[in-house]
Amino acid sequence: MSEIAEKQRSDEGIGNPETWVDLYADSLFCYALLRIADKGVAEELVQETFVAALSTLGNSQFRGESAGKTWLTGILKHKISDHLRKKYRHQAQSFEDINNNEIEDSFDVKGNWRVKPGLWGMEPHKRYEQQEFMAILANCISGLGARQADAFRLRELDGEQSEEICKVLNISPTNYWVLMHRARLAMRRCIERYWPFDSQRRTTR
Amino acid sequence: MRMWIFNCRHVARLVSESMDYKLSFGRRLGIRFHLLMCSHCARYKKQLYFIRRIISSHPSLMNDTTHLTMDENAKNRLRKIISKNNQSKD
Repeated sequence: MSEIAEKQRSDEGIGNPETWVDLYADSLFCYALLRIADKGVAEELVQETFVAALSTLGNSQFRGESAGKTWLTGILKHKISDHLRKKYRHQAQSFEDINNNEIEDSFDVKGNWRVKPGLWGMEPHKRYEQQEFMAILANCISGLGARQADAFRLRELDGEQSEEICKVLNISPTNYWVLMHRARLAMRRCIERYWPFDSQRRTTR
Repeated sequence: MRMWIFNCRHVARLVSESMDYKLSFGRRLGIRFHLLMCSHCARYKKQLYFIRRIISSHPSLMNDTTHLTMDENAKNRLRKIISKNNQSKD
């Protein structure tokens, strides 16, 4: 590789930490915010990520490569996981987590739907429809209990395995199944409340 | 809970569990049988999978559009920290 190309590589990108904030801060921040839903914590986690990255940069093979973003995101992912672990370490599953009546509210004594799942009408295909749908979705997630919301994000957003989620959130497998079942019932119901029905199909039924 | 007597309450729970691991053959059969006759549970399952699909295909759309960038103050703080840590290393 020529000297100039080498110089260029070290001037920007992962090889030059002075450029990190401009290159990576926003996307890392968004990544963290999606999973933690707290602006202050998200900023802290990005900061921790940069500090950790600085201390290992010398040994890293990613130096000067475009894989920098992937590398930093990987570190951030661990920081998020650590954050959740700490958050729940001393918190056995709380009464409010367990004592929500989503299941009892959803089914009658015979096990039939009390309120039948309604049609959502159109699925959001256009960009602005998807945006609207996702805003509702995010809003519904924030309406879940804290642990439920974190479990739901880990599972549906990151595709994390249930064993790992149990460890991070400090819950038993049995509690996990109940927690997720309730979260899904609540999410579906919440979305139905805000997402517009297909009114035509509804009236012809 | 024998497979021929799955009610909606059972099926909703099992559909949720089936999104996290593979259920036994009997249970899968029981669910399928129930879904053939019950449009509500079928709809429930479809909607849960739709949520999963749209989250994984457009995760960034979940962020509030007012929060797509980091605060300038926070960025400046970060710049200082990086600069300090970077120098102390050299």
